[in-house]
Amino acid sequence: MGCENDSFEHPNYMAFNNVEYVTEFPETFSLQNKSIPNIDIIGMRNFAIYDSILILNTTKPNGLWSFYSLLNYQKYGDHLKRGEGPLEFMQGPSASSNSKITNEGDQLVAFLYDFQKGRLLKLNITKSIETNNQQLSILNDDLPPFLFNFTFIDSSRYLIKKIENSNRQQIRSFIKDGHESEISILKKLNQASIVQGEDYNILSTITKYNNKNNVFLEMPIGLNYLNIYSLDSTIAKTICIGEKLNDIEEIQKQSPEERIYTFANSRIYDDFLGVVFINEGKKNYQTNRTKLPSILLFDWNGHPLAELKLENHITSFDIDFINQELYTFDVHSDEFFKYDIKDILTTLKLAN
Amino acid sequence: LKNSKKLMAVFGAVAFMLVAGWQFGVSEAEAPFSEKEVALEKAIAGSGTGGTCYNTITTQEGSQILYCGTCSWVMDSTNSWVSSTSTCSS
Repeated sequence: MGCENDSFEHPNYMAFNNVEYVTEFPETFSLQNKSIPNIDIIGMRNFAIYDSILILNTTKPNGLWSFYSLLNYQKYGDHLKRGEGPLEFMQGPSASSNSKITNEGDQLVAFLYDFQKGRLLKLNITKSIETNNQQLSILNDDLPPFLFNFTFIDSSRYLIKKIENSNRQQIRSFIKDGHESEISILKKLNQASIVQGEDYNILSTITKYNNKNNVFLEMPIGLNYLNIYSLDSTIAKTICIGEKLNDIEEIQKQSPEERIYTFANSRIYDDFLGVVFINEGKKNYQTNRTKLPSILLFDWNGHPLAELKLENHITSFDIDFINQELYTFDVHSDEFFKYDIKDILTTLKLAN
Repeated sequence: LKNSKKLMAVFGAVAFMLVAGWQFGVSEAEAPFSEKEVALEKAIAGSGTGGTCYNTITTQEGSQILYCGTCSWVMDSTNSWVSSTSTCSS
């Protein structure tokens, strides 16, 4: 595992020169004995866990985010509205991506990218729950709309990814105090391109930022590798699942229904990260899913830690570290489950 | 006669919806947004987005798609593999 690879030419690879190939994991666990949380999941799209709070991303017009206690599933309330008002959203912000949920002092807050209007808003979750009154304010109303990724670093710094060059490329850039600039370490990834008229989502990714280690995880949805990097170039590494990096030119030669849907969801924690590995063709995935996904865990240097094999389909997951339980949700079947993973966390010596 | 015509119309509409649902393999639960959402998006249509758009879309995190119904980008969505396409002009 691990090599410097200069043999491939861009723009066919959205990867760094330093590629590590992962063909097996040091530990494998089968997740079994699931139970169903006693929560109303009607309209649920996604979810996130922070400390003892469960956040459901829903399609409910008056509660795009619903908050629950993980201790007893007591509902704390619904917040964020769909609409055209100044503090409403045309499309609900995802609790899973393009949003940052973090602690500010003793307050839990969420920084939300408004995809349609190009704004950054701040939701004080703690105060909204305590007062049962949404505490939402606009921090920045001068961001580009329809970004393919918006990654919050702090209130004045963001990493963004937007479609450019007649929809042939997705370009990453850094915004600081309103000024946009290119980051040299990301030139390599920005060179990746497709032919005009092709599916631009071949280059789509979900990007997340780990404050503790100052590192980004970029997870493509149609390529078999992950990119881990820091803006100061301390780390720039590609982790390939398998023996060969997916070639973007070769993918374009395949029919759209044959193309592989690789990763569905990522979660980052202080000391490790996890991704949902689907690895199934688009047509099969949409009509008759046959391959069961797994959750792949890595440390922040990209070293594989464990593969968690699932007995059901999922599109997202998260971990309740207080009760040491893993939750999974599948948006296509509306199945929401939880698993006891005390033994797994103990074996892997993992905590948030 | 009036009532039977109404009944036929309702039956026809239901049959069309069933066929469309079967053909596109998209259940209501999978539909990425509600009719209200579509209506709201229509209200802000004209965002300057042009190109090939898709008539049937489904949920996929990280993907974006140009939806013909509104000619605007829809986040965390992809085209159904059997979706027909049209063109949105900028």
